[in-house]
Amino acid sequence: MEPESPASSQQSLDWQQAVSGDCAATREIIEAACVKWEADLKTFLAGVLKDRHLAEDAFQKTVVRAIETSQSGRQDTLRGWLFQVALNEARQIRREIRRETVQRQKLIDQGAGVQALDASGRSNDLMWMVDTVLVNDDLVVAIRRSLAKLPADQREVVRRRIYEGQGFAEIAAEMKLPLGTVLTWMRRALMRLREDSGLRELWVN
Amino acid sequence: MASELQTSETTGTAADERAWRAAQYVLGELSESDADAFELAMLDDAELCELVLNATRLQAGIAVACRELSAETAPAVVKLSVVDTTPGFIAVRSQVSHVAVSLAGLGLAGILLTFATGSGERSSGELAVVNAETVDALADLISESETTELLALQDVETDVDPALSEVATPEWLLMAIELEDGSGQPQLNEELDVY
Repeated sequence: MEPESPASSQQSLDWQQAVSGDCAATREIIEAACVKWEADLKTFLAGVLKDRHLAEDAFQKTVVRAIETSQSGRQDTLRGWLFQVALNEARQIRREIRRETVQRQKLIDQGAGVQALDASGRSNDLMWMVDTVLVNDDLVVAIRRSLAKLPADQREVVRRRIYEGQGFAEIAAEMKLPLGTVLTWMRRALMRLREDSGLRELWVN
Repeated sequence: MASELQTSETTGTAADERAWRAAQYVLGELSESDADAFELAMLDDAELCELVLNATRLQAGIAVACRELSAETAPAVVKLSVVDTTPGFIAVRSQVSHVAVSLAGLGLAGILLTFATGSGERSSGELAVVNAETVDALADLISESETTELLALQDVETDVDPALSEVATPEWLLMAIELEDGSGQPQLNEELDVY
């Protein structure tokens, strides 16, 4: 959870007052918040949609929707509410893609010369992470240091799953390990990385 | 005390479980119904959204870090630009281009014989790993004027690593070309319609 700094606390108060008050002031607060948290919102959306371009689209729609619906904000914090709006926009985009996919498939089945779209967006290909600009150099350096501290086997599982895009079953087969062991190593490795002091500092900052 | 520890462990375990669930969600490991349920939970749980944000950032960072490590530990290569072509396709070049390609090929053989390794950097357009056996094989092919076989492997552009381009082609290589065809003019290989 993002630590509550004095600035954030003040922003929460402003937000709660704005929701029940002046529209112009609310709009200003929301616009400022979207600028401030643009990277976080886009990263979150990329995690939901698994696609950088869709995340960009969803962010633009989030800003518009947030301004339109500002008076109905329910979350205690502005940040929490913006993430809620973003998630709703992401789910809407995914529904539209699925609807279009179904319609195209019907046309294909009827023999029309229509090309199929990609699947619903729930892909196992994690290369979108590499292609995106979701991380800065400092974070990558810190992660490299943290990865080096991991036991070699855990590091290999993490590398295969996230970078190579192999499934856990495939990793287990190739490394000649039980599936449960591979899953446990992955979970422990991610936990160690999350709790690494060098990375924690970056999360907070 | 024991109950406090137990509570702490339970709380820690519950927090880890949520973080692991968020990681699974970002990895795409959840079934469609589970992912949908997770998203509905996120709508009312700001902390869960933050866990997804952190999981995404961490996994993206791991992906980039692994890519960098992979590039750094790659074997030594000679950087060349490669144009993908249909297998077997031989580019029909102009007379001047063909001479340039021949010179580049001969120059490459000479340079490879001189230098042991190239740069450790990788780029997305690399050709192949080059070792001494490959160099010898290349030199044999070129010396027997079987440039057509070389061209058939890949359509190699004459753009080379700037570091390599600074090395002058030895005089003896240039003379070798002139001596080979006798007339100093490039000759047409009628079979393949290339020079």
